[in-house]
Amino acid sequence: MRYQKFHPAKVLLPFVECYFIWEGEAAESMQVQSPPNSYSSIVFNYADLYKASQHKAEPVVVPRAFVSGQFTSNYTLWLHGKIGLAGMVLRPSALYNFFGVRMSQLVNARVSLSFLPGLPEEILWTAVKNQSSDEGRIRVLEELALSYVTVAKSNLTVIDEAIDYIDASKGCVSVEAVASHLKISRRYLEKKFLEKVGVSPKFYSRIKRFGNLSNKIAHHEKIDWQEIVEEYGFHDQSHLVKEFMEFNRMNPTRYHLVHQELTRFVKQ
Amino acid sequence: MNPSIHQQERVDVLAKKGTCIEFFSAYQDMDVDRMLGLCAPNGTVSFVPLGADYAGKLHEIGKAVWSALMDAFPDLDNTVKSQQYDEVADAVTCQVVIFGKQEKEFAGLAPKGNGFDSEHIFIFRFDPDGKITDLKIDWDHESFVSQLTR
Repeated sequence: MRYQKFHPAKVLLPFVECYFIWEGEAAESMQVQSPPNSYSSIVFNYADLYKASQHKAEPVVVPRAFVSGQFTSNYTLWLHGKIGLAGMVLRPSALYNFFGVRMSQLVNARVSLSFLPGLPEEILWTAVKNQSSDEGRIRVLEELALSYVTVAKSNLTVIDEAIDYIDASKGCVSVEAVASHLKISRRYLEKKFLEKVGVSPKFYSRIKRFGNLSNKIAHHEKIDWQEIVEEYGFHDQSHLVKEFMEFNRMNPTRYHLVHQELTRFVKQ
Repeated sequence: MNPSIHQQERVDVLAKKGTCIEFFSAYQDMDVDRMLGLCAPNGTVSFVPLGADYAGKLHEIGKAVWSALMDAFPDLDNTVKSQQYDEVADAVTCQVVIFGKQEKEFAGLAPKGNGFDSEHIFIFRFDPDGKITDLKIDWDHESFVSQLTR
């Protein structure tokens, strides 16, 4: 199994977080679960079809070329057979800046790429599939992103600054503080943020905080839980546990343990 | 099989699910006017566990209940766990966790500084313009009350 990230060209940094290639073989049925991560994506599947599910819903087949927006809860991928995915991980407002789509429609969804205006899904999918190397596939993705960079730049607004501010604050910031920092009204921020990102700034901050917190827990051998509670602005430890159960389906202690075991395994 | 055809979710279904997300985002923003802006003028709502007294127009009963909730629970928030479209009923069912800490009296319950955390089922129906025409909301009311009164 191989999952490799690739950096975008500098001019794309406001829009593209990274590209990835994921290849491997799942001889037995494999489930991969993921919490909401604040990014959207465009993904091409050039191997076997797979399924995805959210919460208690039945798994459904994922289109071979799809776009997805924000996720509001944990989801599971159900893989079996040959895995071959090439994708573009996008900053939260990138799809809006590229295509001007109503982002709320893409929340909790993996929608066939033809949903995006002007995208030749079949041609792009064939181009990705026919490449014989990572570099070739990433080049197709990069050329696609570059073809939208001029229009995307012209669509940058104060809401993109709001996203950057929330990111820099690790999600530990109130909506009032973001609005005040940018000298805009809270209601304006909330309305325009929803338009560009698909979720409220309050929820975006929450998943950003969760992502940063998870990263910290995963990469530290010893954890002072009370310190975590204070640093990330939880009322108490039960509030922290609730957030973990909700987004990650396991409590923070278990999550820490799993990652420590994984780290030891990788070191060996 | 051409997966791009067979697995594509219909645009009108995506729009309906998107409206649900916008509704819950406005709920997170504590903006009742924006919530109601997504509803048809004569749309109806039913807060199922509360019975017939809490069934009526979205712009009347809905507005009153949500305004009272937001007043009593100033940190009211939600997490949308899943959304599913029912083709036969032409409705979107959302599983949503609602949570908050009580600061003022709500529905006869005095504040004890307790919070609640309750999974709700919202069933949305829409008119041809995509406005919400009917909303049914169900939850375990016994658990809700016991969390606030413990």
